[in-house]
Amino acid sequence: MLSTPRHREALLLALMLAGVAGFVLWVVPASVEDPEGFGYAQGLPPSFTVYLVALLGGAVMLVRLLRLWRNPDLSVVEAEAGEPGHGSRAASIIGVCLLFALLLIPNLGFYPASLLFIVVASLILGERRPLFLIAPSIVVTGGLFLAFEYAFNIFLPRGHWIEPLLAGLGG
Amino acid sequence: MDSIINGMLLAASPEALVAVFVGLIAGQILGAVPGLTASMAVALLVPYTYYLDPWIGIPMLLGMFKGSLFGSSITAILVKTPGAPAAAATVLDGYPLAQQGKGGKAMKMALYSSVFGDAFSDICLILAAGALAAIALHFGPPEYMLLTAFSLVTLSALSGRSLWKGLVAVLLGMGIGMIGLDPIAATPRLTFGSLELEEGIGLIPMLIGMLAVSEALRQMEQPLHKLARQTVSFSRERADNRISWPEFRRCLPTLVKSSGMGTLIGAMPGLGATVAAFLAYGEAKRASKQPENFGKGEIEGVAAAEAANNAVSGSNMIPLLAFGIPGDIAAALIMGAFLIQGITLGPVVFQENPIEIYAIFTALLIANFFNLILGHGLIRMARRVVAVPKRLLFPAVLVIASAGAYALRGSVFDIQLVFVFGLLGYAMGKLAIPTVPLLIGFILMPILEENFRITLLLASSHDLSLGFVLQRPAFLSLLAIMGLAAFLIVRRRRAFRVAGAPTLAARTQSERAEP
Repeated sequence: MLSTPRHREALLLALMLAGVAGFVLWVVPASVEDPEGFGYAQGLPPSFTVYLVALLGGAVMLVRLLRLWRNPDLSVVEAEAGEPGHGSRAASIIGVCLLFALLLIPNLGFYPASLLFIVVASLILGERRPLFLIAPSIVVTGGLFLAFEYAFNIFLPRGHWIEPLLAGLGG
Repeated sequence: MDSIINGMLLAASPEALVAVFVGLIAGQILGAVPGLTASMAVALLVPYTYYLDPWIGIPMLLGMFKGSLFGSSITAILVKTPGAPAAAATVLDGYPLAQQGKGGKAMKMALYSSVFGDAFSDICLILAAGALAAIALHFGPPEYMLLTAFSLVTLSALSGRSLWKGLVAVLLGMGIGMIGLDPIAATPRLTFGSLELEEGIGLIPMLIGMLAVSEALRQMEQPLHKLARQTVSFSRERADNRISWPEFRRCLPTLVKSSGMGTLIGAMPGLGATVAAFLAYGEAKRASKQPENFGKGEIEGVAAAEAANNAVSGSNMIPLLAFGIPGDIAAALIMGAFLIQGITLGPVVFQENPIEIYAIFTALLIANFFNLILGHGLIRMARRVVAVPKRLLFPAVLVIASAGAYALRGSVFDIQLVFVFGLLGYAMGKLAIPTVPLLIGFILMPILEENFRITLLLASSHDLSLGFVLQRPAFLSLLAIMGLAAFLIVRRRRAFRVAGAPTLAARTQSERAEP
């Protein structure tokens, strides 16, 4: 079924159209509230441009889908192959990135999280020499600490788990 | 005449020269850090100007501003991570050049173009500040709306091979640009009650995510032996590491045109260097004899983007000096520094503080000259930094980019957005959907929507008729210029087809046939 570029593109378009429909029917009504009596003379209601952009997107996808249906050779010409890659390593790196941003930084704080992240990411990418795992993470994190805390006076996140410890130490 | 000479002497004093020098070095290094924009570099220095002599503090600020604009292009070229949003268009051809081993050439072109654009707009500022500011003042919401809408349409040409994917990406970017408070009614849109989303999506987290993180993820997929290699290899050929005179001469028309566009856009408050860079890039591609080379490592693409974004730095001083209206955040910060020093900018500044004004003009030109010299040093330093293996550099880039994303608004949410947009960019790469149109839609949507809706509000005072825009000379002039541009684009495309240029189908098939 999905063996040809045409079928793959049609499936992508169908999924995207479903996304647009969900956006128009559910997301916009649930997240945009137009003030009462807000019309053309008041510079249009807030939802107007949201619907307009969504409908334009839907129209572009529909036109493409119709063209695909009417001209079977079209996708053979224009479809572009996705980029090849090592799926498992990509998944590991994505997982580590999400862990770093969503869990480690808010809870452990920026500097400890960064130390860990650089070591783990470099390990996943094939670095095995201990010095080359530890030294870059200390240099980068230490450099950022000195630059942000002392030169720029910008305090990067401390972390929910670390803050009570720092408070206890009078930091 | 005395004022001019005294002003020049003031700016050329040893203390002021050292200040420009130090400001440039700090600016170039800060600018190269993803997330630390020119505005932020200036903001970091402004408090220190309290304690400095005015003629040390102000030249240092100007140097820092100019240095950071060039610095931001270095990481854009070498690791696809623009130091500031203004360098996003530099990525389009700078990064492919670096991938071909021509990073040295691309960085040198960025340096020469930056200095050229900067000097061009400074000279315009010196010679025609009043006239340019008067033109810019005629631009109101209807003109901004027209200009932005036209830009959006013409920049769709950057959409790559598949038009529908480019259009969808533009519209997706526009949709993301609408998240936050409505520009007119100030009610939340698409926020689902999230306070962080009410502030809107930050441009910096989005740019860093879509360009840098997605590229880092893509690179990290490579086989392990490739990840052990240095991040950027530089060709040993001399020609790949320098800009020859014939190359510079070939780019000269693009440099002049892009600098002019940047100067005009900079004189209009609110549009900014990022819009200028993308517009100039689009125009350079349109006017090129080989538009198909753009996006694959065309040196003219680097020249256009860099000349335009740097030209904004001089010309956004035009409304500042002439009317006391800052063109962007950096200009507002510079105005703050002037106020600290007791200089009130505006129409009377030329009468009340002529020496200071001529000193500023001189300092701007001196800063350009120093930028050219110091830029070579930064290029040499950057070559060493990217000589480390990919498996060590990319995790470090992600951490530095996260710190930069946090710095601007002090929000952990922005760090999380960096990675969310990184994943979006990565997924779009897998589906062969171009990311640049999404960025363009995102950047232009707030400007377009706000001005469109203010234009409608203005129409309500003209019996709800939009016909009032046709009574505005600036609108009509702009319409005529855009009509002419559209005509030229259509005529050029037709000529291209008649001349037997390869069709999209043939091009794609031939590209596939190549191993």
